[in-house]
Amino acid sequence: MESKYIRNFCIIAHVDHGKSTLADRLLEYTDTVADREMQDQVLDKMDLERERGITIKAQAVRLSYDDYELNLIDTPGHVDFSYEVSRSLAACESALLVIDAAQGVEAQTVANIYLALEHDLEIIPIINKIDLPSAKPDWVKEQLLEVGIDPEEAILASAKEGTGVEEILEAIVDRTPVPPANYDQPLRALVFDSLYNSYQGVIAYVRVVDGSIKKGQKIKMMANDYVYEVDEVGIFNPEMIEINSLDSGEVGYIIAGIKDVKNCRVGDTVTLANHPASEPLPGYKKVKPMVYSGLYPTDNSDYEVLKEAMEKLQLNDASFTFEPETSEALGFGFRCGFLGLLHMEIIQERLEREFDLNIVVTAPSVVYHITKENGKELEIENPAEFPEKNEINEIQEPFVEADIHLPEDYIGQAMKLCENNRGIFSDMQYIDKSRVSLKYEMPLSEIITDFFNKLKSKTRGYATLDYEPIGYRVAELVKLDILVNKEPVDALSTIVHRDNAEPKGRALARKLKELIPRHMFKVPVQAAIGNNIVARVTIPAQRKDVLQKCYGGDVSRKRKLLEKQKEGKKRMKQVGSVDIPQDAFMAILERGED
Amino acid sequence: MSINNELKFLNEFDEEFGIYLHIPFCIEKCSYCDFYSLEYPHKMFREYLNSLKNEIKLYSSKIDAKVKTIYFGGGTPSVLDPVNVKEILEIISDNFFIKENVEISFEANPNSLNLKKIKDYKQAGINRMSVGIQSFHDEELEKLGRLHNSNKAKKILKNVAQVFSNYNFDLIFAIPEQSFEKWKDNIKTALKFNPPHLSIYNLQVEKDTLIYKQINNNNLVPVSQELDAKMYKCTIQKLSEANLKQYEISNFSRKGYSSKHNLIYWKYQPYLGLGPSAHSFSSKTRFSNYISLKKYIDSLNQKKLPLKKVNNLTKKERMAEKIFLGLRLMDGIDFDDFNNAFNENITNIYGKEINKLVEKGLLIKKDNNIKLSSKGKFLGNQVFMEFL
Repeated sequence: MESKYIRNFCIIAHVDHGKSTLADRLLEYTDTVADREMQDQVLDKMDLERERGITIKAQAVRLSYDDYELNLIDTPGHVDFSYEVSRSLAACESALLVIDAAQGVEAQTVANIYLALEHDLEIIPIINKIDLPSAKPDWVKEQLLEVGIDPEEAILASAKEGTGVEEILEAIVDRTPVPPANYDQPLRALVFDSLYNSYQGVIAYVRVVDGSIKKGQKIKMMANDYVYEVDEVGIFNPEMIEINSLDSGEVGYIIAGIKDVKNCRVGDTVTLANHPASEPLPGYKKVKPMVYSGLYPTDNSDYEVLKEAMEKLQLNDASFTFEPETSEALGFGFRCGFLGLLHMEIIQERLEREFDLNIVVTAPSVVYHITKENGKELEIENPAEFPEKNEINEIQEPFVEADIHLPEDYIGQAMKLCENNRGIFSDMQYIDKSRVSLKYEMPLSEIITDFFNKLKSKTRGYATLDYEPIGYRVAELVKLDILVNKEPVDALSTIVHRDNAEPKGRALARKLKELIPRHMFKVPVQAAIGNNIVARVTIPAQRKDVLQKCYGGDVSRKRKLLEKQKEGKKRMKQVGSVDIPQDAFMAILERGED
Repeated sequence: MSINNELKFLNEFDEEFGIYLHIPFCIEKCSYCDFYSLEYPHKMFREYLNSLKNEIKLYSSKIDAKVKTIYFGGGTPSVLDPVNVKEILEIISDNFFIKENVEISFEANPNSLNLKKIKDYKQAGINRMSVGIQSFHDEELEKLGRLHNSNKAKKILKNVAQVFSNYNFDLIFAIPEQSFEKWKDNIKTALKFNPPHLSIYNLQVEKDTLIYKQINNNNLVPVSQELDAKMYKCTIQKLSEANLKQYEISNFSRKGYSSKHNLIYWKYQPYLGLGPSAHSFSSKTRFSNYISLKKYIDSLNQKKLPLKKVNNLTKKERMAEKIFLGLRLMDGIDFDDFNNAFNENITNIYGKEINKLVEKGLLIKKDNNIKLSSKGKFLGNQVFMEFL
């Protein structure tokens, strides 16, 4: 198709502002999906995405509207996936910016605007959910003005009720710049996502920037120079439909017998092997995990099953990494890298659900840079591997700039929370008359605890959070060890700041006392820094556990009670002679009251 | 005997069995009770009695085995007039083979008894009375939502002892906020009656009961596990000194006075439950009645058994049940008995579990028998679940 009939756009929004519902309406209105196939969140293919109302993988779909071919690229909405979002944006010329008419501009809305501007996208603001009684479109328009968007351009819509959909489609055609057509240039196609299919291998989602691509051609991945032969090119409608060629300006997929998503990374440029482009498209970077944690099967004999399950998940998710590690307490398992906490939760949930595994996940850790006294430099992602105190010359930890948006009434609360989590104030701006953007430089390790939950509860749910890495800084950190029944449990070790190591040790010991069930013997739980015990609690011995009243015939019910008790015990991890429940390994995330 | 295919499991009643009759009415619901019961008086009470009689007749045409115990439970059986009891027992004996020396037990609340009524029940055929005393302290009785007070309880016990040589009463310990002294005092009072049988158990806080809500709302403080254990230990000791032998986790009796009916449950023998929500066991199948009184009556009006659930147990389930019920008895489980029942060797099936529990000091293995140790009585669930 001639590029003047093509429009490439994406939808960006803060979580829950109605992105997926709007996509559904656009699909319906353009008859892309037959009524009988219509279900909520059509583009979210995984059960997990639908249930949690989040988009994890980017999706693309071609809509036909009048004479135009509109390519919608749906992006993940969560901060963990911001690199993927940026690549999706790079594949478009415009962005529908969806804002909830009742909630207004949020931290991620602003982050998304900056991202869109960075990629020189035309922004089409949509004020969504105007059907809500609490909708305040005029207030949202004022906010838009504050963040530099012309409120006159905003379209009022209710994706739920279908109002404004036609106006949005018109705006996509009228306001989205025509993609530049460079048919004569050597092929350059941007990979903005990929997924793995056991029959066809990797399916690469691409935007063709220069040239064109068809079946039979030899292509080269510019990041690693691997060469493949194209088996099929096509578009999403939303099912995959094979077409003859994908040309400059178009969005679609390539199948080329690629066996591993690692060789077809998001952000890479596809070119022709025998007529390559001289430069790849800008912006490729290999995403590195931000947080690491250990994953262990509850039942040691499931190790191989877990490994296979993770290999399968990794086929679809190049940003998830794992390598074998051994814990004295937990046995054989894996140290896994994730983009963030949500990413970690998703992987854990998919392993348990799709592969029916019981796993123990240890508390997430960031990557520490350590310079030893002997000058050797280490990158440590597992607290258990921290060197002895006297061997360490300097420790550096990753910092982020956190951008918190909240009503001004809660500024005091939020600032206190940030400062308690070692935040350093950097900026405060009013977004509108009553909402504020608060910026703090903070250690990433503090963010990946229950910081966000606490922030939410201290601001009655009004605060939103976005953050980006700003490099490494020197910090006074120590390793806090936990001993259960006198034995150190390496999987419970954690890195904390020297100044609050003791209160954290006490809080953690208390928390573990709540979580670890009583045993037939007393179980002491101790927190230690080096050889110094800083806290000790004792879990008293189990004195009585017997169903005393058992007659009257309903034996099935009694049996079920016992079965439930047994099942609960089975899900725990036996460390020494103590059964430790799964959530105890996450106890460090909940640090009690700050 | 006429049995269609669907009710084939009734053929499994091939040895002497017990009959349980559920009387689902109470004048007031106790705060800890989660059994099915309705307020009495009740407009469907007459219909209920008729249905119960029809249910007895329906089963009698399908089961040939002998009845060895009959048990009126509830609810509050003592809302029944002795005349009703007599009618029910007559219908049972007209329609079933009754074993000689049949035990006929009857649960009663002190508040719905008086000396005349107690005598009339005996006249009607009852030969074992079981009274829900629960406590001899008024403030504890109030917490439990019982209608009687301590004086009434003592008076009724005297009357019962005067009429029945075979009787039991229930006591509850670990009532929220109960002190150890108060509990010891309850035992002392109980032993003054020199009863032939006592059922003593700790308060089980079941969901959806009033007492559960009170605890959840912090209006009542439950006793600690430590105190619960201390009370239980003291109970076992004091009763043993008074010649009341512990024969089950929560049951104590003088020689020859253990409850034959309750032994059926623990010895894994068959029983037939009648009345709404009643449960039955045919030795291989568990089945239970509709919980709703209306459904129960409607079904019997159509001459159909009011069955809600029928569960054929697998052999594995039966072996597990036999063990965890049998281990409740202080005599424990004889290997021969188990091996004959299932045509298996218990040590092949549970050898590992048994050894582990013996090692932990929870089970005692002697000759061809296993039983709970003194410690095992306190941690029975840890033992039972190993066999599931």
